[in-house]
Amino acid sequence: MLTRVAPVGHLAEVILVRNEEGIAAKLPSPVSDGFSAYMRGRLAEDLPMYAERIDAESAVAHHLAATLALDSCYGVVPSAKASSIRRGLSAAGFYHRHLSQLLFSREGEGCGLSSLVVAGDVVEAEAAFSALRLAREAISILGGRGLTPERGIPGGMTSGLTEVEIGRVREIAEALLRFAIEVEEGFRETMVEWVMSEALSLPLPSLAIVDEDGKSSLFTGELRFVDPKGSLVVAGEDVLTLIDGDGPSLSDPYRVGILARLNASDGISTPKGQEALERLWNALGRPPIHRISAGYWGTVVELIEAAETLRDSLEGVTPGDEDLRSSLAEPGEGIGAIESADGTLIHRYVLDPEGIVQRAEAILPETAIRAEVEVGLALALAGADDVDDPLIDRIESVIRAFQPAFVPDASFPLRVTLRDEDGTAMKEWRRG
Amino acid sequence: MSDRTIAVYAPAGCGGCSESLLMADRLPSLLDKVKIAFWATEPGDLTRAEIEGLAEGEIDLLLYAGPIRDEEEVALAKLLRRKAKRIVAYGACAHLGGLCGLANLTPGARLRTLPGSDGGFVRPLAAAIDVDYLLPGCPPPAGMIDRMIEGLFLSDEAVEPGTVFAEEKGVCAECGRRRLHRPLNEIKRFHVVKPDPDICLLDQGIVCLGPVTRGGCGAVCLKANRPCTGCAGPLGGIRDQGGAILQTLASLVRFSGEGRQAKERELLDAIPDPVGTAYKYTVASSVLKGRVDDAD
Repeated sequence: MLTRVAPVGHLAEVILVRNEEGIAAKLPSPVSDGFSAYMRGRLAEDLPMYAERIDAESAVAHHLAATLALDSCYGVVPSAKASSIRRGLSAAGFYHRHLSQLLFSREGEGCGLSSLVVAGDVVEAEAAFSALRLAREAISILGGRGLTPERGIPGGMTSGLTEVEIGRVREIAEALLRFAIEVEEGFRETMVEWVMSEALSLPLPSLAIVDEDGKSSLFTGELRFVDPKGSLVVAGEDVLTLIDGDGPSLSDPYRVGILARLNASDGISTPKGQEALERLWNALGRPPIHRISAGYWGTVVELIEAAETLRDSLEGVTPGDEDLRSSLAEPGEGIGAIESADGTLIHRYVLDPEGIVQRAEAILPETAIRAEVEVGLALALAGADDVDDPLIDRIESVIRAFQPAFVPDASFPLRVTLRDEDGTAMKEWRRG
Repeated sequence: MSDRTIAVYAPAGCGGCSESLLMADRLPSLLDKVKIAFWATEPGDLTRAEIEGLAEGEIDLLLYAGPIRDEEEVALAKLLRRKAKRIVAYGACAHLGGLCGLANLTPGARLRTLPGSDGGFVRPLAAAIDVDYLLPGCPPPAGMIDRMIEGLFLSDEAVEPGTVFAEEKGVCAECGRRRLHRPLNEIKRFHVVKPDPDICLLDQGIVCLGPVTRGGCGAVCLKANRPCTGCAGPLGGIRDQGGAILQTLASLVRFSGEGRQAKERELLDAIPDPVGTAYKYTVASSVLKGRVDDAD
């Protein structure tokens, strides 16, 4: 941890290697891992704050995944009140992450901040920035701190909300919902043609979390692993056997994230989210959907779902610190799985009897996304025996297709480097 | 002021520092007044050749986030030093080594899986180059960022080199909990007990770095009913934040009667994960620096 794990962020480079079998593509090596090594000997209760520094852009999801894993380690079920606050926090994190993707995933000058546009310039940049800040405010209220939440502990939350804070979160949720509806309408007016014109489609299995009704979850619930046709392969805790077990394995390419949620669930539980999803279905057909560009559309659908979930999560939550901490059993081993905006995130810990970390692992959505991109690149390179401009065009189109679901910034150029088998750079192309 | 050029360089770390800039109220004012040379948040965003292509002093102000992990990063930091008139060590990793410094406790921890790199030793930015200003926090809170933007861009007054954009007073000054000066005779953990939100955590036996940590964050962690972990670094005049909090704890321990000294020693020995608690962000900049294993 603590240095970027895997290819979080944008894809700046693709490496091509010429070998006897032709041209192969790979992404640069991940920038370190180390989470397990650094966490050994640390305090269990600090794991949520350490984990969220794996990737601050997904800090909310890491914080909550760590908290859920600690619940499991301590054999405790949090109260309904604590779960509701966590669910709201997760929804606010989803909204912020998705909106960041929309804001910063279009090409522009410099860092991209100067070209704030959402959904084809149909939404005012100022309104988008304002919504982003509102989502951050909701995270701050629910999590205790805006970028790196800190309320999650095994068995609950360190503190509760005031009546004013509950009212403010509801107010924010309504504003975020109005903005999300505006974005979705704008998206359908201007971007659907683009979605339909992007042909890259990769039939892969999907991993996602669903709620008790089989609907898409933006928090925790039941894991579902479906094949490329959308048929259930395995569900619930048995999915975790894929991590270590035989048969279909999480080391083979599979999909997580927006398309995976579309493909593994039976729809969306919130009313306006479901309506928006049905508009997507009407255009693209019912799941399974493997067209990569559909993920961009799915993002705006999930913006609506996240705002509704945020609003509904605090229903019945009382002000104050009462009923937020459940009694802990002896610490041991545990797993926490959560749906993050980028995809299913799993944390697994082993604690000693004193609550000191013996082992900590995180299975990141980025690992699956990386494998998915590599499948796309392999398709683009199939049959190629020379590197020419049309081939670079195909590579670029694959990377750009993934950007909306992958990165907070596509304004940097893409670098494609051809290397020989010894790793020596032979030629470089830059695009964008 | 309109032609000033800023740059953001964050090749390591969690990305929180880059993200934190977006939370500052003053960011729109800043963007109105500057050109952005680059905003690089991944090692691949900016090549050495691209940095070399910049003129000497072309960047008026560079915000550098993340620790220094190996010699390659030392060389890049030195190169950036030539290109930037002023540099801010932005966030706990650049300021103190940050949480990344915990890697120094794990000999051989692979900090970077780059070809030819077998891992390095984490240091704060100031160990590699001269730094003009410090912006603490993990990540820096919006108020401190606004203070930096105000000082460096919106005010006509010159800012002293070495300025730390945080409070001179400690977190305790912002906490608002009552201090009862109870003796420390038991160490408790905040996930096991439910701390009273109105009483000082040290009075309740919970290790809190508030007394030795710079304020400016509004004691946000304490307001969420959990202890300060020291991310803003030591108060001015404190060389070693971890040593200072351990000293503070030792001064609070008070047993009486027979076996008093043994009980005191036992209590201090029982602090769980003392390094991760007292030196969470400062292993790399402490007098300890890291763990050195005996030679084989």
